[in-house]
Amino acid sequence: MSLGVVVLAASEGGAAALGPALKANRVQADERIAVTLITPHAVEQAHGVKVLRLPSTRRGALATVARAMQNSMIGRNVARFTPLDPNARFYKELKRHPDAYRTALEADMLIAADRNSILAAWRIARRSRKPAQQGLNAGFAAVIRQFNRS
Amino acid sequence: MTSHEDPPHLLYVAWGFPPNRGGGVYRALATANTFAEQGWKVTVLTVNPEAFEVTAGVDESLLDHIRPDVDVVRIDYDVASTQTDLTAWSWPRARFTELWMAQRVLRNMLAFPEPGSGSWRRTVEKAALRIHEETPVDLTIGTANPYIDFAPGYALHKAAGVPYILDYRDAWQLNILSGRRVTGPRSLVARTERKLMRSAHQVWFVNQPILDWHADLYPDVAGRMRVVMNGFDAELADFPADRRDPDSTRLVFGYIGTLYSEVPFRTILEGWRLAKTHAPELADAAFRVHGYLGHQGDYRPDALALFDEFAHTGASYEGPVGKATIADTYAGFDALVLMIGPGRHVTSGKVFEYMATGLPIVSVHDAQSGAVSVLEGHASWVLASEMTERAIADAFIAGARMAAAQTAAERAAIQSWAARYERRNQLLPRIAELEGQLNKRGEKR
Repeated sequence: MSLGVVVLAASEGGAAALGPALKANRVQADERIAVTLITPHAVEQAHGVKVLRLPSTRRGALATVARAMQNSMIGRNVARFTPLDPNARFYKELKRHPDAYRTALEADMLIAADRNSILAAWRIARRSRKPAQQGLNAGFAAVIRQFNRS
Repeated sequence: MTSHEDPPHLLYVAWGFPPNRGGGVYRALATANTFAEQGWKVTVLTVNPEAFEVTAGVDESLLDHIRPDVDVVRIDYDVASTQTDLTAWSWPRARFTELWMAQRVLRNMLAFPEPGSGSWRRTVEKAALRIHEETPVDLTIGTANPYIDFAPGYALHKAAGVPYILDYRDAWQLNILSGRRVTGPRSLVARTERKLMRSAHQVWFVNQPILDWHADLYPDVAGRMRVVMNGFDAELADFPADRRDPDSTRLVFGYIGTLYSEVPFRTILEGWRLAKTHAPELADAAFRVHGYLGHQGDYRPDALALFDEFAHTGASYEGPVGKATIADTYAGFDALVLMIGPGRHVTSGKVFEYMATGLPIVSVHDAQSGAVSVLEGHASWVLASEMTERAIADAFIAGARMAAAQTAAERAAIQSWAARYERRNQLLPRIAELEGQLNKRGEKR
């Protein structure tokens, strides 16, 4: 039996944390627990993890402003109400990528690795009616529970 | 033990109890076990392990170390930070997560002035009162942080006159790294702490500088304050005195613990790299870091990137170590690297473990650190004279020479010198004092 786990990471940090999280939670990504990372960032991944890289659509000055706003709580929350919101943008980018979107919809478990992938995981989980967790530790703990049950 | 017919009943409130893997859990475990070993009936009030999966992390091997005569009552810890099931989240929470959390923090603060756990107050107080109804409690100890662990002791004291002890592993109003007060004198935290201090039977601190700071703030409570230092646990008491591999010329430096962001890790790695270029005995040496990167089980991309950048120097991140394998992990090192945050209020728990092994210790931290006073007298210890690459490199080189030259007899002598820091030896005098006081209370009744 195989369990399909999709990790969504809007930030580079979230994507980079996947490998250590697998190690810390003693999860081996293989044919039994198939782990796919969906992210716009190019990061080296642990053996066995499949990476679907989203094309990043934001370039230039707006991207700089959007990044700067993420550096403070006020900036992040002001951004939430603007088109610069990376939480909403990540979901839009994911929807535009048919392979990634389908993979996420078909996952047995979704994990939002960082704050800006929460909305995407939440929306997809509502649509697919599959479990979804916030955070890598919580996510892999749930994966282990589900794997042991099945 | 006291002269009560029934053994005295300790209610020990510890959010972070096994299988929690977070800071302070060894102290909590040892406290509960040592009281039970001394004949007390011990009930630990803690949370269901699911809470740790999403916070500090889990070390299942710790469960085997709880004495069978310690009763553990686990209750739900249903606070916002542990609700990670996204399918149960509302749209505003998923869309505006930080703003949603901010309003939740405000509500928590009104219940108890601790942002993450205030809303747990009613649940934990009710559980403590229920335990007292079933088997009357003679003493409550709450160990913090989280400071919500202090609330049940106060509630039992108000309801039934049960004495309570506040066990501070850190400080609520003092930033132990900067030495600065972090709350105003009229803040909710200050008012709550004052109230808790006023009626406490005793207040425990992990070192003298933190006690002194609180004694200045609460002079009327100073007489009831005690230092109960951390220590090392019994499994390290029989650490081998022999060299790991006397024939190997490849030295292995090790670190076990949480790597906090306050540690200047890049400077330390630069110092390590410099040392390797200057000392032939370090040319093929390894520096293995075990433990967690960050307080909440996060994975600090900055630290991970540094491991990648310095991989060619033999520095590597090896992941967490469970309590069951900690002695074996130490046995794989020739010398230890002590990396802790700055400040005279910081002792850290790992310094005692380090001393128990008898291995040479390379201290790369602030010279004002509280750990320095503990380490003074250690025969194989070197402290970086300042936190610069050059001074850190010199410390690594000196540590390498100590490691290469250390004999089994020298290591055994350090182990014997450090035996005073076995955790049990820190707790026994306090337990004896409490037994005397409780007896007196019983006689007066």
